[in-house]
Amino acid sequence: MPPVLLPLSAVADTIRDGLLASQVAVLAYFVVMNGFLLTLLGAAALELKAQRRAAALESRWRLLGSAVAPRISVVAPAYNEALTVTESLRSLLTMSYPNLELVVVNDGSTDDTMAVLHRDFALRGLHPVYHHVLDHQPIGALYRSETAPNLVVVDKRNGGKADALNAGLNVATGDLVCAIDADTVIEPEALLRMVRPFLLHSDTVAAGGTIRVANGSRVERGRVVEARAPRQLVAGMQAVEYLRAFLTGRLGWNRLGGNLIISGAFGLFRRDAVLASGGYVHDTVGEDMELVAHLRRRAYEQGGPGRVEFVPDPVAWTEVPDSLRVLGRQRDRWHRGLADVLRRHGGMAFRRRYGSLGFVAYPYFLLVELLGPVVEVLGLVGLGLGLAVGALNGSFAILFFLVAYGLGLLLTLATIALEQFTYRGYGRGRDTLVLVGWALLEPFGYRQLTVLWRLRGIWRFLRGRSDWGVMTRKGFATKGA
Amino acid sequence: MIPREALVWAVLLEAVLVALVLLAIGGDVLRGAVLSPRRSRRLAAARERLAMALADGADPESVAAALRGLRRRESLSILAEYAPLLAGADRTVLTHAAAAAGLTADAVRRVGSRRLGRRLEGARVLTVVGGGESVMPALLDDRSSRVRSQASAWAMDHPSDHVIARLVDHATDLRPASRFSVQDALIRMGPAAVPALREALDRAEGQDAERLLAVCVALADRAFGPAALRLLQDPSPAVRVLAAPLVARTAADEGAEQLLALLEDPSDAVRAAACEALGVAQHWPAGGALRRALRDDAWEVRHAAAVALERLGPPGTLLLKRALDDDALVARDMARRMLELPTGGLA
Repeated sequence: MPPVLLPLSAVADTIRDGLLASQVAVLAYFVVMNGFLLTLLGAAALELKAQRRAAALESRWRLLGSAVAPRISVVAPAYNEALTVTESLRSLLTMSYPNLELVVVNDGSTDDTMAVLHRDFALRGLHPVYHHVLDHQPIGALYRSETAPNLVVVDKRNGGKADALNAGLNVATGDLVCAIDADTVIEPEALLRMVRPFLLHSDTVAAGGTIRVANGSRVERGRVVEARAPRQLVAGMQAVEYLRAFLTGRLGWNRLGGNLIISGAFGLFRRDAVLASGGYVHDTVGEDMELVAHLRRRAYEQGGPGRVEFVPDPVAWTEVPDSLRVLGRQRDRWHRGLADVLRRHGGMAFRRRYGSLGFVAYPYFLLVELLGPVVEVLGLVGLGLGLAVGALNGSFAILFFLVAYGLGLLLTLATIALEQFTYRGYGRGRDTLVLVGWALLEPFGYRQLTVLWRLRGIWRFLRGRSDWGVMTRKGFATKGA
Repeated sequence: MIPREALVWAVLLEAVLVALVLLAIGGDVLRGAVLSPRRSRRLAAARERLAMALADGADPESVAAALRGLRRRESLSILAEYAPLLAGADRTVLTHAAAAAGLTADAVRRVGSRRLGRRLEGARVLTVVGGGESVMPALLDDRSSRVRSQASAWAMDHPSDHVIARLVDHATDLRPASRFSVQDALIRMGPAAVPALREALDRAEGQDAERLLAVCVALADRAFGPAALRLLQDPSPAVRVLAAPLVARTAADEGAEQLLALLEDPSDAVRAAACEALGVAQHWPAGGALRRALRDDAWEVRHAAAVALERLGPPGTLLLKRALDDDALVARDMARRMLELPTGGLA
């Protein structure tokens, strides 16, 4: 039987219809996605109001003298941090908390990190007795500072961040452990605020605080002494992204089924729960998200504490990449981490046993966070093709673009408004206007770049790449220190 | 497919909303730029007046005058800044000044409200500025754990018999927020809380005893000794774990034999607590038993036994050295680690 040949015009019509249909699907996806994000924003606004009311006139200073305050161990992995480690640790040691231990894990540094620690903190050898619950590279020695007795230094063979955190978890003696990055600047009262969910709810297993972008702010001796919105383009865009991710995203999740992410740069965990769940996984680049997903999944499967809360007022400051190349590597890695965690915990999706985690949080992270870039690029390609074959006219394409990105812009501006009406983390009104400027620019170029980086992350994940990539930072070291 | 008009309307709606949000942000920034310096000056002046009034013999009227012209929230924020820094007579002056400025009466009204938020705010104000003796004790039994928690913080500075009795009753509160504040308040009250706590501990069992022990261990008064000895036999391991350190601190001589018996307890945590308690009590006759505990299956017990031996001083160190030749590898390893000798391969 001879093949049936369609006339050329019929093929063109089919392509045109297909392109139009794909555009409708993409637009519908954008509307649903942004609708959910607006719901998150609403939930965040309600949560913010409740949290601020709860914190008003709260007597945190009473906790400072309390004999029943839970012991917190801050675990800070350090790799080749000789230049900044002293300043970072001095800042951490002056944090306001009554029962605080600081565990620094030197992860096989090849520079003078250990020599600097010996010199500046008068380390003396400690009985190397600790309960080896989690696996990690061998520990060479344990030290305690003679000048700051609550500082413990672990000197171990190099094994990466997750490995160092696991060693720190084994050695730590706190009921709660605060995992931080060595270059994170934490505000002095942050732990007093972050411990709140653990005192309010016995089933709290993890709590996260806000991360703000420190580029552009004045940092002296491990403290942000003058907070400023970044003036540099790449850092400025990230300041807006961080604000949106923390103030709207994570705060909103408190009311919509609980968080799945606690930032690796600043999170507080119940140590017994982390030890029982096996600690940080070594073979992933998304070890912080994996830990939270594991803790929550375990709570559903075996019972026990499983509440994960985001608290907006404890703040840690971080230096973000100010070059597109480094930022691209970071986003690629984050997306590979997300893909890996969702693959590992795929069994939770749409299972009644996992409640809101399986029906709301997991699908959101899969469909919006992971696959969002795929849909977005399909939409942009379809838009271009539609224009090329004449299926769409120019004004329709512009309207389509404005609708799709306008919702995102609205969401970002509403988040900045929330920030302005509440915490004003960047201080002056002028800085809020700077953030508004970055928000208005974000949809034009930057957003599309992040889509490409995330797509690259998916591609590299599918090809089995699990490297971290080289991250370069300028550091906060005080001049002349 | 998609009507063009629908897209136009959507864009218009978004534009209006974006404009409204921008206006709100801009308006607030502008308002802040105009009002904030004035407010800052007003607050700075009030702080200075308050500091001077407190330094000049602290007359309540002059302190209250320092707050005049401020909004209620501003007055409260200034008082909240000063309150933790003041004690004794100066704190009392602050309380009288708050009353003279009308803040106390307003807070008392709020405490009587049916709305949780208002009750909580009233309780917080009275905790900061003091006063409210007629209404606050009732809040120790409030239906909201957060209000109960706040009332406990207030009670810390008002240790009457009635208040202490209510706190002791709530030391076993199921809600952690309230329990933490109650336990904290009782510990800060110190000896004043001991008689009521002893009475409650004498008849407590199970989970209630566990929660009371958390307070009693911190206070470590000898009056708790008999109850602690009894609770070493409690069926709950969690209670035995907390009773052991209390015995070590309050009734070590009478309880040494019972602590030694706990080294055979089926619970790892209890055996570890018993080792630790024997070390704290420096009960050197327990050395042999502690050396045997170095062979325990549980790491926590071996570790606690090694630490306890070290606490015993020279006799304990001698036993640790002897354990270097123990038949059990785990005992040799723990002794090596405690004596800072090279390890034998076990982590």
